[in-house]
Amino acid sequence: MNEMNPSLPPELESALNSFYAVGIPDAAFAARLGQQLYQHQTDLLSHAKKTATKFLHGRSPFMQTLRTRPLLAVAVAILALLVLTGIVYAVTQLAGFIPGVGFVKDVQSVLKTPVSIERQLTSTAASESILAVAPTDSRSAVTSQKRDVITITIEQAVSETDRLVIVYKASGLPANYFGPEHTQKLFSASQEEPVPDQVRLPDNTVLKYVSGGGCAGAGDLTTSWVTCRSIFLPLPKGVNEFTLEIQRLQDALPGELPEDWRIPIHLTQVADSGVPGGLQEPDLNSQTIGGITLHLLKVSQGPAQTAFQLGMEWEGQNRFVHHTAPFTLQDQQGRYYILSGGPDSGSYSNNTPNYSTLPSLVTVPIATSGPLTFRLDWVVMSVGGGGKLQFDPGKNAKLGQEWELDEKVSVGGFDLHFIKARLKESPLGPITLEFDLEAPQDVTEVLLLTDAESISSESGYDHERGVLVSRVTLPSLPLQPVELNVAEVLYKVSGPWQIIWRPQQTDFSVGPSPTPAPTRMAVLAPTPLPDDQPLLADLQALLGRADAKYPSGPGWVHQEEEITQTPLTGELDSGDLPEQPLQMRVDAWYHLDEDGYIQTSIYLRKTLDGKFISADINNGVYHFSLPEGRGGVDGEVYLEKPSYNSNLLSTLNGYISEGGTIRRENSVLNGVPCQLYEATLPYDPPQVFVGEAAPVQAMVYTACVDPVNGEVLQIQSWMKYTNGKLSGKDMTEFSPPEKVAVLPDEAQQILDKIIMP
Amino acid sequence: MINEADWIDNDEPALVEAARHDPDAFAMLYRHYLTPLYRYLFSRLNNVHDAEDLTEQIFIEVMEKLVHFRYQRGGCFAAWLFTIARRRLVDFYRQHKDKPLDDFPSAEPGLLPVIEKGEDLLQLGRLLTRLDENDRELLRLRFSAGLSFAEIGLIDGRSEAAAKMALYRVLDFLRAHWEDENE
Repeated sequence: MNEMNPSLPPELESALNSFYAVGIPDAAFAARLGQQLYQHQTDLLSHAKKTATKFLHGRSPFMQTLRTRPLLAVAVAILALLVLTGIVYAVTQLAGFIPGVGFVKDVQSVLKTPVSIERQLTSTAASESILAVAPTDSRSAVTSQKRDVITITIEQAVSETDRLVIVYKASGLPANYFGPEHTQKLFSASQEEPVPDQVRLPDNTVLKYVSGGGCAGAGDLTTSWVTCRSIFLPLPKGVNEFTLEIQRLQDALPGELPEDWRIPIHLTQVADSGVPGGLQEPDLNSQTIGGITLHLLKVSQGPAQTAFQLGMEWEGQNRFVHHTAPFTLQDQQGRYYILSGGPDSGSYSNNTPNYSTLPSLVTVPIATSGPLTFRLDWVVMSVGGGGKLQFDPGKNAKLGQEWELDEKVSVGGFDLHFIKARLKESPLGPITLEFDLEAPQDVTEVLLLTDAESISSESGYDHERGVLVSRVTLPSLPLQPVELNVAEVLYKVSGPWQIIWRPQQTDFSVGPSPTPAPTRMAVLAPTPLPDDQPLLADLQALLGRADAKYPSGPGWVHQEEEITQTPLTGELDSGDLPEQPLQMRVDAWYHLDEDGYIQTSIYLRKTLDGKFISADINNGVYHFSLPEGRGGVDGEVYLEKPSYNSNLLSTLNGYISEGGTIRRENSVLNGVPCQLYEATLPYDPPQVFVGEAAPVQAMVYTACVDPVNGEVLQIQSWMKYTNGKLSGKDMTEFSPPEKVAVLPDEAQQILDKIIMP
Repeated sequence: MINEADWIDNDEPALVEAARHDPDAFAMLYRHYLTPLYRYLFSRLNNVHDAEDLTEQIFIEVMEKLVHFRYQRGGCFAAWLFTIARRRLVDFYRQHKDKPLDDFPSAEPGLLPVIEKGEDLLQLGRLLTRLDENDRELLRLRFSAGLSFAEIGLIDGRSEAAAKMALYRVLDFLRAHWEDENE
């Protein structure tokens, strides 16, 4: 190590370094896990993305993160809601696929009805605080909540021959329980790790918790809840009664919430449970394109949902699926079913190194018997490294220096030609060593690492210069030759792969009733404003004038926005998203109920000359995006009213809560007088953001508001750099919302492309 | 030369912040921490299969917690990662009663193949058996995981200076007895 005590004998120092340097992760394992994490995070974020990027397309997720930092506190509850997946709304038991549990096999017994147990929030003694242990109606168990009472509801339990899966939900947790403040307490507190959940059998033996489960927390302004999927070793044959023991709820500090829960669970044999059959194993394959074949492995058609398990097979050694385009499912008329991620993650085994199952997909019950088409447009594959590149910068390397190169490296059959190198200041470290490459067109990223000193690498296409770029960060200027390893090459294989599947005709009228729509509650109150910010209070009153005259429900309301964004500097494109112009028009249609809450929204983005770019549709808890065909379910979301000013008040409040300042002045916009509100958030020390031309010392957000009617006319945001310059300004201009009697054709056609649940 | 630990401390927060929303940014963290984490776990578990399982479990947990805003903004990512790793190790030992944490072998069994390779390593192996578990853990965090003193301090709940002093005390012990054995 660099900081070894210098007085150690060299032999001891060498022995220590050798002794503890044992254990290098297997390259195949590393690549496979990297791919799994990437896919899993993409799935987790996919629900949030459509909201977070609603008006920000064209920015990378990285950029969105940085520019929305002040909003983080406001967004916590909302995003936590959006990432919650796999919620069981009703316990509908299916052979083959069980909501919240996933695909199952060899099921021995299942939970017949949900079980709830309640305890006072302040209680500590289990024996005194149990208020109820009773089978309950599933919907009331999920939705009812008493004040200061924690409720754990066993929503599902499935005993298979090789595992026992229990899904439970703890509700009534304190508000903002999964927010940053509680998290800070959690990680700063020194605490002993609680015993994992366990299952105690009647003979007092304990079933161990095994990996594969997990919890997802969520919350709102008034309460929080968490859903956990715990997996245990299998129940002994014939045992159907046991106790689930939860020592401490997820993320609770010792003594913070009632502990030592003991919940009796009674399962019923599958033969007695009235479970309808339904698992299909269609064994359908796509055509093989670019060495890749898609398989449809399992289908479960149930009265509550339809679930699919797909697999992928590929050719070539040391290659893995890195990530894919979204899967789509369309009927003969080209209408899309909304596919969301199921509880199962994909699985990969070293025994079959060219094959992986994919995360399960779930959609609504399918009524048609006509053929449906699965389609996948592209796959990004990863091939492990092995190639090396020696770069000699000489003895007097300087920032800004550029070298012409003619170095060729072959990795996984791809010939990479390094043609230039340069040293730059880095947003992620003191120095970036950047290479320009010539590579086959399907190569999207070439990731480099040095043996010891690089912390990160990134790669992608630099549209400004029209070249593939690979960067590696170094802690200091290199004064001697640098040896670089080509750690990974990503390449895109284009399809489309298609599988035509014909659903079985199923009469669900004799089975359990379909899953009811999840409960949706209205957002209770606007964000409270701080007492010491009179300008925010003035703005709130001014915006209230506009709100009072805006159209209300029921019916459709339309608003138009024009967005101008500034180009980012040095941003690399991995080619996953279609190119977005810097200027666009957004037409938003909101279908409001009689209280003014959004039931359905459509966002249609077009170029300024009217060409289609993209569209997002939100209908209740479902969302769908075109042209990619990405869709999903948001879990429990809250009804909200439209914001016709990009949530201006919340944004400015966010700036203030993060330590910013606000001022107001009279101004003129296009000849119209307006009140200009300007919030400034300083960064001390300055922050280096990817895509910005220089370190940022402050972020500025302004709004021009009509002083008479309170309409927001224009919003702008920009960065102040440490070199005294300003970034370009992002700008949104708003038109007043108007009620429309009939949805126009262009919006109706988008709705008609989707099979709405 | 800039100290690597200082460099990471100065620049990592933006990367971690980005990793909440950006799989590419998380992939950078993954690539950077994979080997130190795996190496640390392997040194504790002496088993490739278990080390891979726990590595996978820990990275998934870390990523999900990041996405769910369970990471303290501006915190020390490495210390957080290895705190979670140590908790999952405790879970592992609880679930595998055949490998109880309290009775963890005094030697470092995972390193036996290396020990067999040379007299110096054999000698070091013998010395390590004379250290208590806390001291060996200090060495693992420093040399297997490559953590800075500040990060070790955060994990162990002591100051950077205290962590440094504790490690130097262990190294002093090793140096003194190394020389004794060579005399």
